[in-house]
Amino acid sequence: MTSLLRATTLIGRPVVTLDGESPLEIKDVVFNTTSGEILGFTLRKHGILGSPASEVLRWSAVHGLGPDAVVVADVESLSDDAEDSLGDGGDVLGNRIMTESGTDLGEVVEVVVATGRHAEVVGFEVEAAGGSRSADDHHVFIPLLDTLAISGKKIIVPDAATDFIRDDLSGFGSAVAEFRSTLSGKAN
Amino acid sequence: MRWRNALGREVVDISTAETIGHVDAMVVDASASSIVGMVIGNQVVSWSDTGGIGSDAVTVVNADLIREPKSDLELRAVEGASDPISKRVITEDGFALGSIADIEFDPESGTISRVILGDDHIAGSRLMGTGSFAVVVRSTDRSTADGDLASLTKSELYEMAKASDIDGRSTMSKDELIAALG
Repeated sequence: MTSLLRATTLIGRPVVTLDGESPLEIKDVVFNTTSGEILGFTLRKHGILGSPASEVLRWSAVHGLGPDAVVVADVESLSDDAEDSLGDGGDVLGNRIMTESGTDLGEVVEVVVATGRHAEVVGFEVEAAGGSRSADDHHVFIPLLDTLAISGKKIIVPDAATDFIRDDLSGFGSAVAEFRSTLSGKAN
Repeated sequence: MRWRNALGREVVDISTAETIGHVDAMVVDASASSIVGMVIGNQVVSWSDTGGIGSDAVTVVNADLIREPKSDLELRAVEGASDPISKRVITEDGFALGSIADIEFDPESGTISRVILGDDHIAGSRLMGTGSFAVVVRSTDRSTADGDLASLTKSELYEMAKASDIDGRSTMSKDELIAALG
């Protein structure tokens, strides 16, 4: 099953091994600030007041990811933060999204992830720049491509991305697929 | 036969006609979708050393077949860590399907046919692991790779029908969804 979810909704979700144990839960999502992809997760013991764990979960070690759990093969899938740091990572929330031709589309408030066995980042939820849409706090969804420029403050998207902006998450999945096929069509 | 009905069944040594104990728990090998042993107190007996669950009792030819737990599966079953009843079911791609009401299995072979979730059920062949937190099962796509739509829950079938844009899906029964998707 593939569906879309907001990356921060994974916070507090259990990390479950294939043999049904849950050693830890997701504490925070760490992004690769130069690609917009998810680098991995920091972890904590169960419960909102659970103490932070020294282990981290790298994205490559995720077996499957959905709205109710992040599944890993076994406890060996978790790596020790000291040796295998997510230190290069950071946050992409707060970045501004701008088109190639220089239109500011707004500020990233969420990262949208497609769930499943091969989960991936598919786009951003953006608080639209004032005046460009109806209400000031209007949220829209903008698809992410595999190759885009991110500086740590700004994310540059092709002008074509604006054709695939959607107002709600339910219509966004098909918009992402259309956007990608448009781009790959252009490259050929 | 149902898991809950098997618990408490008498275990009898047929060489002495003595009752050795009762079935307190069972050992599940999820990757084989089978029950592979029974827990009697702090000890275990391999399924293959019994005649399975008889209609009134479990019989063993010799009390020595009741032994200390050896494998990891047996140890976890004795500790109660792998008891599947009331556990939440999570797919390997992170979807919760509900919690386990009971497990249906063949009383002779121990093969698990169905995992009962409230008023729905999934195929025993989807089992991947049973732990203290959850029972993990194969994802929707991997479970239907061989076309076995009946292995899914109704809500999983509904999501598939939604993805294939099948008309009238919201009023369909589980069987109707299977027919429409098949």
